[in-house]
Amino acid sequence: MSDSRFSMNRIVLVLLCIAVAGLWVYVLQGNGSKNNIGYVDVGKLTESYNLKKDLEKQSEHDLYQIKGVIDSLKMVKKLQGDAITKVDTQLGRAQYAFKEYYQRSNQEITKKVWDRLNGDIENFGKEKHLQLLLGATGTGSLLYADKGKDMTDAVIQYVNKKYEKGN
Amino acid sequence: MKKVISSISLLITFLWCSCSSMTALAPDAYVRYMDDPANDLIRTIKLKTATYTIHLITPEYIASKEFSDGSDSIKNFEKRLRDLEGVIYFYINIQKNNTDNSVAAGMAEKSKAEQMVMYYEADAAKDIYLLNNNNQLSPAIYHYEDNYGLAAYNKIIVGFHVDTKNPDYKLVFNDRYNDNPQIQASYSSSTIKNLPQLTIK
Repeated sequence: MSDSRFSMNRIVLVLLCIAVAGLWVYVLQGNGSKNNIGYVDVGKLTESYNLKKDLEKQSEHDLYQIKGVIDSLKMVKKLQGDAITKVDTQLGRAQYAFKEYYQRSNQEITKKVWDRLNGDIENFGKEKHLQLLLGATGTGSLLYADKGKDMTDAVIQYVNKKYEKGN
Repeated sequence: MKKVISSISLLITFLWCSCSSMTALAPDAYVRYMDDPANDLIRTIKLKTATYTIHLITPEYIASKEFSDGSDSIKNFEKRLRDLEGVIYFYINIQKNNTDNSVAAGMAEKSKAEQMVMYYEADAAKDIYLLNNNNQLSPAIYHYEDNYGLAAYNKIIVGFHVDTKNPDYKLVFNDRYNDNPQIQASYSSSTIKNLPQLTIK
């Protein structure tokens, strides 16, 4: 009788241990998921993104071509003296085209970069089981965060690898 | 001492065999290997407007597919392989991601079909290049498969004369029709060098 009670106690003890261990794992996981929050320095991220660098290189090439035209017209204007001629109109148009192209290409680059980044950042968050990934723009959207929550470098590495490799 | 030397040489031989691409596959197995996404030859770039699937393919793959029914002779197979040699090929599959499923959007899309075909047939080749060993290469072969609107994707096959001794490839496609610049797929030389050999019996 005492033997069976002893073994019963042992079973209860083992079950209790399992329950405590389970609870402990559950609590740990809960705390772990609470830590799944990070932030990214948006400025650093976009500046380090290789797609942006490549698109800017392409746009620079076009801008240099327009700048070449402007410089040539300025040279012609110099030779002509102060008289207002057709060259002035052409120069004005070329300078306007330069500004226009610069603004438009900047807007397009920003749009294309974010079109690509949004999907990749979403995948990054899913892969790292993040609950929240904040973007720090330096304009007060994120007032304080511990340095340990900074995921900028990891995100830069991830998005550039995706961009260079292809998936 | 002798024992140690012999065991070291055995270990080196084993490591060399396991590291080098000594696997030889029959044509059908070779095709299966190349088509298996796990082998890192297929890259998918999912963007807002379109999804691009880039598949690196070798002359062996093309020859294996062409002779898959086994009706032709080995001699012809080998001749075909020699014809294709020195060129690396890529399939580029462009699948439109329709975010707007309205009738109006569908009609607008259809009206642009001619423009799309014109771009992929005539201009897209200029927007594709390959970086191989720091050289920018233009396509030596370009073919657009016109599906006459029967399929929801566009398929391009593009081939480049490459330096096969330094097989590090980066394909770049600036898709001006879908306004998606810098679609890239990189393949390291180790990936290419570890491709299996083809065996024909």
